[in-house]
Amino acid sequence: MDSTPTTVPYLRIRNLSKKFGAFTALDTIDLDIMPGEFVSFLGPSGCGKTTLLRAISGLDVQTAGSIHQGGRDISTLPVAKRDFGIVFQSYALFPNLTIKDNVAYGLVSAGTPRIEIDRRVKELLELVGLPEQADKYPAQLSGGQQQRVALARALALSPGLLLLDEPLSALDARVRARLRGEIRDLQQRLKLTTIMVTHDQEEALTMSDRIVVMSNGRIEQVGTPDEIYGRPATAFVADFVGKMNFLEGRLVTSKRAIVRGAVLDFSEEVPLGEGAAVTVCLRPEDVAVRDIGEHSDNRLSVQVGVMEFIGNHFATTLHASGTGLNFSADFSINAVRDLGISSGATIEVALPPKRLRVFAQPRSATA
Amino acid sequence: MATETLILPDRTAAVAPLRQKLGHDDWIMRGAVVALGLWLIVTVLLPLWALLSKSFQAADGSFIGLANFQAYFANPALANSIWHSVWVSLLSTIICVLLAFVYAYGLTRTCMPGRGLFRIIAQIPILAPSLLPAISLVYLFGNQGLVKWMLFGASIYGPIGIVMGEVFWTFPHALIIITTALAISDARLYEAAEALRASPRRTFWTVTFPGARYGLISAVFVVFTLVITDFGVPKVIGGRFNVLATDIYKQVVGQQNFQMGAVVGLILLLPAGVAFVVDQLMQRRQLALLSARAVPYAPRPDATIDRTMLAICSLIAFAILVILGVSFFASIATFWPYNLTPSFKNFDFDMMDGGGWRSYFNSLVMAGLTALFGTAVIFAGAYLVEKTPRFRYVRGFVQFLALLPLAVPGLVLGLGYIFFFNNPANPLNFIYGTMAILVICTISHFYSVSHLTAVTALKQIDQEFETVSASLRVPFWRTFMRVTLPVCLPAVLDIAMYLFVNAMTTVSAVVFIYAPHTTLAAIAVLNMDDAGDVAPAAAMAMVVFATAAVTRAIYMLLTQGYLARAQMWRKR
Amino acid sequence: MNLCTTSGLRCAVVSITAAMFCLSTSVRAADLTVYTALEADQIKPYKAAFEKANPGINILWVRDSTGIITAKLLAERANPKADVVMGLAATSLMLLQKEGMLMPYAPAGLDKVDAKMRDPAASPEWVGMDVWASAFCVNTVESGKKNLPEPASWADLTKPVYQGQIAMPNPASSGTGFLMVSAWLQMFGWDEGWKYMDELHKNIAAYTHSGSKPCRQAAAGEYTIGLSFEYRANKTKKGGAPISIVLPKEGLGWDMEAIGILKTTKESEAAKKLADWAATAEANKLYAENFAIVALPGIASSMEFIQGDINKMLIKNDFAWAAENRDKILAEWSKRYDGKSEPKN
Repeated sequence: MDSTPTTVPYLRIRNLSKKFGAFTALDTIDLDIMPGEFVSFLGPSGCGKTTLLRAISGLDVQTAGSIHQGGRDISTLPVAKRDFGIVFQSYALFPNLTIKDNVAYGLVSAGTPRIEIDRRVKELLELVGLPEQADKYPAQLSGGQQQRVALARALALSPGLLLLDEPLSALDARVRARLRGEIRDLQQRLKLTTIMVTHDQEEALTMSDRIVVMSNGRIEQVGTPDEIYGRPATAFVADFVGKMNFLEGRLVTSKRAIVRGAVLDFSEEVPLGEGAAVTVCLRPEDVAVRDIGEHSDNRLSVQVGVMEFIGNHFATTLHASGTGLNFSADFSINAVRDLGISSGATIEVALPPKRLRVFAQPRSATA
Repeated sequence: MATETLILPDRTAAVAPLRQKLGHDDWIMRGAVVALGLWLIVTVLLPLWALLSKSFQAADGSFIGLANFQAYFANPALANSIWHSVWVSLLSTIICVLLAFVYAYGLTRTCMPGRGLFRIIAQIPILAPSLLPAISLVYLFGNQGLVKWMLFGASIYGPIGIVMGEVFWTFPHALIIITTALAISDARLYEAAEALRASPRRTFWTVTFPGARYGLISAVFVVFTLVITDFGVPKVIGGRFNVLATDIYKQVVGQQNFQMGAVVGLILLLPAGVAFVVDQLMQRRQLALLSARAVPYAPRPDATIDRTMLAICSLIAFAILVILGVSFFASIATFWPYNLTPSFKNFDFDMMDGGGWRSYFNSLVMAGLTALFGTAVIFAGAYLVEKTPRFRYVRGFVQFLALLPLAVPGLVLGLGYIFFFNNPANPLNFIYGTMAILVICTISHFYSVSHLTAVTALKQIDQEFETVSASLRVPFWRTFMRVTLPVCLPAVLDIAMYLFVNAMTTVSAVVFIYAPHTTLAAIAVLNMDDAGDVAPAAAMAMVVFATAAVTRAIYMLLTQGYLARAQMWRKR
Repeated sequence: MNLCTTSGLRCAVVSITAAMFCLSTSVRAADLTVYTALEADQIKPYKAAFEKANPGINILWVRDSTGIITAKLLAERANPKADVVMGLAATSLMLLQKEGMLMPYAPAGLDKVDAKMRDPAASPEWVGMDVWASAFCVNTVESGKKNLPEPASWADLTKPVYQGQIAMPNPASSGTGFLMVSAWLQMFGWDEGWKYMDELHKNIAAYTHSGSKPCRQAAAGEYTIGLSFEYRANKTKKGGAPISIVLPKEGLGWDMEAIGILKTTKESEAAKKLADWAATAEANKLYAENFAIVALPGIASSMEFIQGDINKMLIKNDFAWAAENRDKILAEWSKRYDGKSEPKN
């Protein structure tokens, strides 16, 4: 993305709420999306991410609050008066029309001249890498190809905003991984403001400029993939994105806690009183195992539990000797090989203070 | 905390929720939904209301409360009809559903040969007016019957004849429902049963039967409703055994007693209404049984079972063919039973009651118009009800109106049409006595099933088509014409076919509202039989059957030939 | 897709043309809607003769059995569809008269009409055409097989030997049926009449909707004896049916077929022409081909298989009484015989 900060957001959402009877699906959402930005709405099902997308598209208008797109108030506009292209999980290609006719669908209706339509369709199909398939029917294409056609169709009218509703969920893992890159690449080339709804954190982390993590109709955190993963703002985000150990303990000082008999230091200052109940979060892959020395912080002598081979790493459970502390750790295959780590062995590990996140208990009460 | 949550609702209530501005599409679609609603109010609800209010009125139109009902129940003969109707319908239902279950089992769960042929034969009764089986039964078991001895001295005129005729006529209806129920059973359950070494009998009672349970219950109610509201069979073969459906006819046409007809009509609405509600509930559960992961069951050959089922199904199919064949035979015999030389004397309809050949051509026109306009209104209507954004309450009400005819027996609807449309104060009075009222009444009569067919087809296509087109700023009607309609073409043809065949064969609703220049073939069958011209009645019934069968054949060719080509895109 | 819409369109055009054709035939100016209970095979020559004599007027028949036509007329009384009622039982016309639905009109040649066969008023609301009377059709093949004696009288019909052998029309829907019941009640008296019917009921196999059906059923051997009327009996025998025709010796029930004009007609000129024609000798000659007694005295009848002077066999019939008590009679009949369900074989 451009590093020059743009001050005027392309999409501005203020105080957005959506109620279904007594149920609050969206609770006073505020969100700004910058021009050319790729933003993912991430969260478990029922968190409100789809509801938010439907409000932006006008499929299901919000109960209260406003949405501005490119300076225009679109809060209550009907779908057809808004400016977006949309791609669904189901592709929603018209089965009885050829690929060409599918892509040209909106152009024909807009009264574009024939030659212009042909040119544009050709251009779009080349853009999504399917120049040879123009005369086939959707059912004759693979899932990934169909989704690319859907993308071309959504781009045909050069919309200001691209909405992707779980676009890759129906595809198998290999195709999904490839298409991720292609969509992201296309988006960056077109500098097209894009919103994607997904429940797949990997998808969100690899494709987005920023991620909006949602839960219970609220935004938990907005940040770059790095921030979301590395510095989760809430225990929910910490739990939802990536794997996480939640270790319950008590503060000793603002930078130290006792967790099940083990003393852990962390670099971030926690503004809670001494003795406050806290949860210390630790990602399994952050457990350091190489170059552990006297000077290492949070050094623990641990016993290795059952080693599970995951494919590109090992997952295991460690028991810190002399304490009640158990936690999971991921070790690279290299480390396991080099250090000869095996089930039942006792080894030295360190928990880097920078990598520990501390939240007040109970977890759900964090804001 | 508690106070805050208490205050919250007040706060939200104070601020009115945002309302989306309506686009062009919204205005058009909402307008069309309202128009459809008004259409259904005029063609279904108001006639029913007219009937209802008539039952509380004296002949001069003054309100007399329940006096008509009191009079009805005071007449033992009439009250007796309720009991007759109930037990004859129950008996017919049990026999019909049992036979249909066995037949359906043979079609879906065995490898007996000729299943395709058996399927076609089983559809024959749908193509004929219900009067046809009754006429055939007279020729088979009447006092001059070919095989009268088979009844061991009992008379075909009365409950025996009614039950036999109704079983024949309702058989395909039950069969379709049960076949569907059996066809969706999950093969994995059978594999599991086999793995657990369950005996075939145990597998049947623990897997097959529960799987088809809702289908069976649904079939029971559909058949029961059809029988209790059918008028053709008991009219021809009921003899002195009165049932509710013939009572209405007698009260109205025989005794000029419209009020009493309205009373009987209301009584007839009850079982049909209950059946309707139960059937709706059952269908919902049946759908829930269908999991996306179910694997279709593929039967394996089993010599004993296949042979047994072949024998049973052949017997049933033979019975159907005999009943059809006898009418054909009778219609070409010169003077049954004394002169059996073949002739076309019985096809000289112009010298008989019922309106002659003109009735037949009227029927063709009526059925054609019903199929054309009915399909257009019903499919477009289903589309609007399904796809109009928001507008929930109106759509719900229109949906209710669209399903209402399912609970209304044809006789009751027809009677309501007289009361409503023949009222000079009604601005629509001018359509009374025209072809138009027959077409409208027939569309209303068969609205619900067609509507459900359309809704099912619409639910099966991608729900996001409309969103995509709106985002591409394509008006909804363009997507309807270019995508929805072509994709749903099989269902659309299905509806047209259904309406055409039913319009050709129906008697019950139109019998009250036809006019001299709009006599219909199926009603001619009734009138000729009434006048004792039984052989010509059989002949006309055969002409109706042949027309429906030919149409059906054309439809099959269409779907297999042209449609297959036009729908190339379905192929992978 | 394209193919589909064009073929649909073509289909629409065809049907709309067809619909317009239907409409255009029903809105011709000189159409006269005539409700009738005449037999389907009788009305053709009547129509042909009338239209030949009155070019430009076209009769549209609404034909059904007496009960249905009467019911229809009463049902539509608020907004009648018929212009003329022709060939309906006099008892039914008197019912319409009571309802004030008929137009008084003295057709040309009224003076020649038998005084007993018309509404006595100077401008009668109905004028008789002919008399139809009850007759039995007895299937000789079946009676031979079953060794049944031929019944000669109404009383004979109650003999146990005929159990399950007799069909008769339901008086509620059939004019022929009603005239029998009315005749029995008048001949035997109210109580004795019902007693007679109770006995007869034991032998009845079927009550039919139409007055013709019992004779046709007898002709087909479905039942041995059909209680019907003389025109149908004669015609059926002529058609080759193995039946003999019996006129019961106690006397024949009868009714008149009559013509009347609806007060509400918009085609009163044409309607009056039909009423005029109905009283002509020409028309009466046509009636005489079907019936023994017609409105103009002295026109010879030609009923091949009807023997004897029907005129002398008719019972004394009080039409006013019959019309007056029609509802009561039918209610009583329905109560007694409609509900008894299964035929006893």
